[in-house]
Amino acid sequence: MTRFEELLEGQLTGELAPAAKAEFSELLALAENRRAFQAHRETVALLSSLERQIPSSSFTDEVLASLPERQSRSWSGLWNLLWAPRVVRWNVATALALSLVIVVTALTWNSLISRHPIASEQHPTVTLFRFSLDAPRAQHVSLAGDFNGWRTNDIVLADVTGRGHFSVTLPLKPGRYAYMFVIDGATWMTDPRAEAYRDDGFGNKNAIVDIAAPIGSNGDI
Amino acid sequence: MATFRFVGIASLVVMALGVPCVSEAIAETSKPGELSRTVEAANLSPEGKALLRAKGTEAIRAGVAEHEVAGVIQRGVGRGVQPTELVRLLDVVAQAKRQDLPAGPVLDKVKEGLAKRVPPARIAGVAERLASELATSRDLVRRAEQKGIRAESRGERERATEAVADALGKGVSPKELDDLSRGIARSSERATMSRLQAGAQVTADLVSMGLSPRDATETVGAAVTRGLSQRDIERLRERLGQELKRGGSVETGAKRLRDAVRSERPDDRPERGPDKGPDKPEKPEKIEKMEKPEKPTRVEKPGR
Repeated sequence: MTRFEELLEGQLTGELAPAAKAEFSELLALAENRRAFQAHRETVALLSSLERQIPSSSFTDEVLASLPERQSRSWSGLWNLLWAPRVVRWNVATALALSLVIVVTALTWNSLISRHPIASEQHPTVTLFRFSLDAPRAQHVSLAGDFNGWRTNDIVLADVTGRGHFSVTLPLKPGRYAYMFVIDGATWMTDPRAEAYRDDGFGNKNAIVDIAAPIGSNGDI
Repeated sequence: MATFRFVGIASLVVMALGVPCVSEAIAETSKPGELSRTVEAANLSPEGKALLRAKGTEAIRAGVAEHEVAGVIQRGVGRGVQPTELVRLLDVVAQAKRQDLPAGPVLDKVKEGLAKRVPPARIAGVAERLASELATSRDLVRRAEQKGIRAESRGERERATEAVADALGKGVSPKELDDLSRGIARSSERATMSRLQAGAQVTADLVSMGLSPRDATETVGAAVTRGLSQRDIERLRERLGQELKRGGSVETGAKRLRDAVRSERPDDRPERGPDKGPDKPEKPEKIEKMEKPEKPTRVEKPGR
C-alpha cells in the first residue's frame, strides 16, 4: 500500500490527524491522486445512498436447499485419496527398496513365464507302438530315430525269448517318425517290415512309422 | 508420517519376499550354461573351444535351443568332428531358424548324420538341401493359405511344410504340389492344412513305392478331386500296395487305382478303420497299436 493510499483510507474514515491532513493535501497536488480520491468519494457517496437489505429468517435454509447434492461420503473419500495433494517424504533407503522391487520384478518375470509355458496343443493321445527285429546273431540291438534324437544307446530292444527276437514298445504321439536299428552298436539296419521307407540322404533307407491321430481328433477324418 | 511408515513397511515386506527370488535368479544366472559346460569339457584346443562357443552362441541367438546346440557339439566332438566342420553344421541349423523355417527336420538330419558317422561335409550338404526344400515348401504352403487352405495352428502349418518338403525331396515339382493344393482348396471336403499334409505325404510315399512323381500327384489329385477324406487319402498307399500285388507294372497298378478312385462316390468308398471292410489294410504282423487315451505323453519328438 502506498503512503497516499494509507492517507486516503484515513481521510475517508475521518481519522486523519492535522499533520496527516496537511500531507494528504500536498499529495492531492498530483492529478492521479486527485482522480483516485474523487473516485473513492463517489463510491462512498453511492454506498451511503443505498438502502440496507435485511435477509429473511429462512434465507440460510433456502440457500442450502438450492445447492447441488453432495457426493456420497465413500466416493468423496476415494476422490480425496486420489486427488488430494500430498507431501511424500522419502529417503535413500526407501528409494533403494523401490529400485530393488523393480529389479526383482524384472528378473523374476521371465523365469515365472518360462516355468508356465502355454501349451501349444492339448495333450495328444499317445499310441504304444512295438518295434521288433529278428536278429539271431546279434548280441545287442538298439533303436535310434527322430523320436529320440538319433541317440544310439537310449532305447535297447530286449530278447525275451533268447532266440534273437528283439523288441521294445514305445509310447508315441501322432506323427511320422524315421528310425533304424543299430546292431551291436555298429551296424545300422533298416527295419525289413516297416510301413514305408525314405532315403536318408546318406546312402541308407530309414524305416518310417506313421502314428495316426485318433479318429475324431481332426474334423477332416 | 503415516505415508512414510506405510512405504517403509511395504518395502520391508517386498524385500523379504523378493530376497529368495533374487537369490534364485542370481544362482540361475551364475550357473555356467549348457553350451559353456559342453565346450569346456570337450577335448579341444583353446582356439577350437573359442570358435565353437562363438558359433554356438550365434545359433542360440538365432533361436536354436541351447541344449540342442550343446547336444550337436557334444556328439560331434565325441565322433571326432573338427570344430570348423561342426561350425558349418551349426550354421545350417541356425540359418534355417533365421529364415523362420521349421528347423526341427534340419537339426534331426544333422543328429542323424552324426549318429551314423557320416562325413560332416556330406551331412552339411544334405542338411542344406533339406533347408532349401523347406524354404520352397514354406512358400508353397503360404500360397496354399492364400488359396483358402486353412491352418488351425502353427504346428499344423509346420507339419504341412515338412510333408511338402518331403515330397519335393522325392522329386515332386513345386508346380505339381501347387496343383495339389489348388485341388484341395476347390474340393468339397474341408480345405485344411492337415489335408494338404496328408496329400503331400502320400504323394511322397507313392513315389517311394515306385511311381513317378507325376503319376503319384495324379493319383492323389484324383482322390482329392473326388472328395475323399483325409483318412481315405492316406489309405491310397495300402491300396496301391494291393494293386501291385495283383501284378503288372507300377504304372498299370497306379492307373487301376486312379480308375477305381475316379469311379467311387464318397458314400461307396471302402469301409474306414483298421478293422472294417473287405479290403482291410494289411499291417505288418509285428505291429501292435494300443490307444492310451488319458496318459500324457512322455516321449518327445525332438525338434518338432
